[in-house]
Amino acid sequence: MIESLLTFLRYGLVFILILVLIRSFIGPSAADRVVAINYAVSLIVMLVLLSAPYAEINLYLDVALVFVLGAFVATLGVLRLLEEGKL
Amino acid sequence: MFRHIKKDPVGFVFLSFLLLVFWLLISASFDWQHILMGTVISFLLMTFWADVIFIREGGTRFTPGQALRLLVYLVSLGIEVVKANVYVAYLVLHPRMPISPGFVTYRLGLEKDLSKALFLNSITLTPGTITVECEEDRLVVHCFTRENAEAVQHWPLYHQMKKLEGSGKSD
Amino acid sequence: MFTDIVIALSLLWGFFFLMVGAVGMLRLPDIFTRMHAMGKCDTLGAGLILFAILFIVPDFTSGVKVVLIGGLIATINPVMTHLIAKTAYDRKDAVAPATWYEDNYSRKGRG
Repeated sequence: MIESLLTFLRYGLVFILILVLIRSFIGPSAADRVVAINYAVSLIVMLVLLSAPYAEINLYLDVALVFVLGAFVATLGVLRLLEEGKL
Repeated sequence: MFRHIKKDPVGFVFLSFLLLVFWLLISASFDWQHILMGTVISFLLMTFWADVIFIREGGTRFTPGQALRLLVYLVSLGIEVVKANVYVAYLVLHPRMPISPGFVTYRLGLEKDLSKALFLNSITLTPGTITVECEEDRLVVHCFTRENAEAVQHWPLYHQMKKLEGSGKSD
Repeated sequence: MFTDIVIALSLLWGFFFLMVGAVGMLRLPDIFTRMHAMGKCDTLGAGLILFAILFIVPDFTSGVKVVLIGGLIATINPVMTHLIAKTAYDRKDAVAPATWYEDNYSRKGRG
């Protein structure tokens, strides 16, 4: 039961990801795109965790942790670039 | 380089220990090699990067009563987060979207940096409001509707935070 | 059996809130209101899905890692929202047509 639910959620998360990427494509200002990409990062982390097979989820947890921290630093860099005009 | 150890030895050791615990948790093995490696690396990290962490004289100390109050605060924050999400879901899925967004400026009555940061984060997580800007004592909040703006003024979490700040030792 | 129900319910509710956030990001009129959708729905949706994963993981250290990821998302998200809002406010990005401004700072006392 849980297995089929997880399969459904994987496709559902990909669908949500497409919706968010539409916003990052048409977003009028730069900050709109940053918001959309930041939301997409969380969705990708959830997708990584839900794509893990039951037995090997330990490996995928490390990937998710590093992804969260790396995205945080990357967004900070982009915002600093927007605010001050240089890095 | 070593002046931070002399200035605040307890805080230094505590933060090094926190880093060591983090390292042991993500490496997930507890033999002596990992512990030795973690101790050396967390000590070196704290030695080189203490300038970033200790930005003011002294440090922040927690009393047990304050920790308990913080726990109560976090639980009531969790309830508020659920309410906020239901509210956003109602607004977004409503066919006509009954919103009238606006900016409100407030005077913020908190002194310590840590409680300020915690309070601003919880404003972001509660129904219909996000913090936009906070300089010294001036707080700019963005609201969905006028009712949210009124609700910020008499807000139970603010009084909890005032009590939490008042009950601890000063810096 | 009971555990399965808890897992399924929190996965579905987490998915629902993530969906609301994405729909809000497309429907809401300006950047600040979109940020409402991001900051809140992301925190609770990701939190609920991580809560479900907490029941799936095999051993203790993996559970601690899941809690760590949850804590990181819950603290990083409001900070990110605040920073993006500050950047957009300083750059004077376009706001929704009917936006109002109110100043309670100059008045005496708080609020």
